[in-house]
Amino acid sequence: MEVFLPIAHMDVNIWLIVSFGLAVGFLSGLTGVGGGILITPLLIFIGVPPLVAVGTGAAQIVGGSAIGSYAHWRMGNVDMRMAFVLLAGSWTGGLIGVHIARILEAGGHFSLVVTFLYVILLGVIGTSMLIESLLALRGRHGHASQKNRTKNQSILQRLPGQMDFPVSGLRLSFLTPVLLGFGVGLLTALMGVGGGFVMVPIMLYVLKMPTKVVVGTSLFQLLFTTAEVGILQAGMNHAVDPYLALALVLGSIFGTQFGARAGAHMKGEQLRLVLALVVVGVAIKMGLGLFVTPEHIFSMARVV
Amino acid sequence: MLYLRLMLMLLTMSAAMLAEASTPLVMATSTDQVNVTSHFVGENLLVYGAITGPGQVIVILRSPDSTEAMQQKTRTGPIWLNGAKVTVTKAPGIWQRLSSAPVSHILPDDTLQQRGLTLSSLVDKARFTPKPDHLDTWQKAFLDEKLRHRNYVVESTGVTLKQGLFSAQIKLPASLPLGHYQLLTYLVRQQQVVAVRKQQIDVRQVGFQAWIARFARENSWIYGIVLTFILAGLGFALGILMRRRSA
Repeated sequence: MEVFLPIAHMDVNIWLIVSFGLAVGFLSGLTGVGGGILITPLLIFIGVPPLVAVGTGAAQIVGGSAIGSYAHWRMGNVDMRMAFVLLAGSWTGGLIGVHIARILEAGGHFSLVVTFLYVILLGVIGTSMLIESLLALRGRHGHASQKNRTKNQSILQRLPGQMDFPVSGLRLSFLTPVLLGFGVGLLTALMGVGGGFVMVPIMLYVLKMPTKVVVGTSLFQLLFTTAEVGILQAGMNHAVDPYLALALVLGSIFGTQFGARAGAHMKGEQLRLVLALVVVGVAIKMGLGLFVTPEHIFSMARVV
Repeated sequence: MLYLRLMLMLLTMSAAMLAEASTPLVMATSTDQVNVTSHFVGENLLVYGAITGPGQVIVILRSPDSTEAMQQKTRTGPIWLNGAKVTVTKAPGIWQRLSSAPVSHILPDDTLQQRGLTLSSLVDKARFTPKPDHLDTWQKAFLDEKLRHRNYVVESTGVTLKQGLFSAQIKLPASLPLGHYQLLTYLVRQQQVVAVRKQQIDVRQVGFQAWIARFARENSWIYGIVLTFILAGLGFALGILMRRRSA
């Protein structure tokens, strides 16, 4: 079914978009890793303007994370104090990020910056997942150096503004989660990702939050960060396409469910290997775009 | 139209000539209104009519002027970066010229230029801001891009002419600038334009699609807030549904 996208200004088969949602949702349901990092590149590959791909990518995460956040909140897995401190940072980061996106777009540099960011991010994530899953498949487990961690910890404890987080059973400076949130907010605005892949490891290994609380809290803050960025991208940059976003949410909800069910019968390590290969593949495809001589030196887009 | 006829009447003062000269060209279109819906993937516009006597026919469809953002890619080391950005105004978004013979064969160059019947006359009137260093390169690139996307179309066999009857199929692309389009039909005889007929085609967005597009543009903040709540609600409702089914 061909549909003309009013914001992206192009026509597209809407079932293709639903299938993107399904496929990415399936992968994230299967492996437990958020699929937001793959949606935006896929949209860019089919010709959606990068800013619209990024804005819509962020907005569709709202739909994808709503039910999970609610469930974790009901189960008491959300450290509310931590979530609000994180949100203070991520909302600021999101606001600044959307402004940066606007300035870059006006200068004509946004698409290039997005490509660079994705090549770096997907490259790092893909490669580390690849190494990790290959090691796991061989039956070895990497041990992070204990020394480094204690050193980090001592720096964190010397920061000003120490605060108690009773649900997580932690005492640390509010500056750490504010900064973490700020970075994730920037990523959401500039790349259209939820940032769980950055947030979760830092919560686990740097902040040392209990595992039970990490997933709930990160999902909760991610829901409200993507909601903020979605609203800002629509309000300021006219960059959220309604049909794209709805189709992606529809696909990813079903995809995640199927993925979670299929994942119960499959081996985790092999699944992660598959996802790692997909991520590395997307990074390479995006990266090649920088080096391959473009088919058309000039590009044109209708403004009015 | 009436004014033109009166003028002709005064000029010719001959009933016989009047009959021929006042209606050397009649034309009509399959529609004078194009409705863009969410399922709109382009449309064919049929132009047809009759001419008296010999001659050739040129049909021109011109949309309102649009603003285009052009960008050039430049190579820095091994990497292709985005280079200069230029905004082009005062040029039609859509321009199609269909004729029954190559126009350069049937009209002299200065007439073509004067009446704006050529691509080069369009690009000469277009304004490039900020003015690029190599204006001619950008002008050429502008036309190339327009032709590549079939926003500008030139077909010297696009009008079929047979025994005084002519017809032309204009293919409108999916992404159309909205507004009043001008459809001009020229009858050319002996290197001269003998008659011109003008018609207006309205291209407008209709239905839910139009409402959404306008709302998203004019009330972008409310649109963003409402859409975000809808997305959250949809995700929530579907999630509950799936959970119930699997439980």
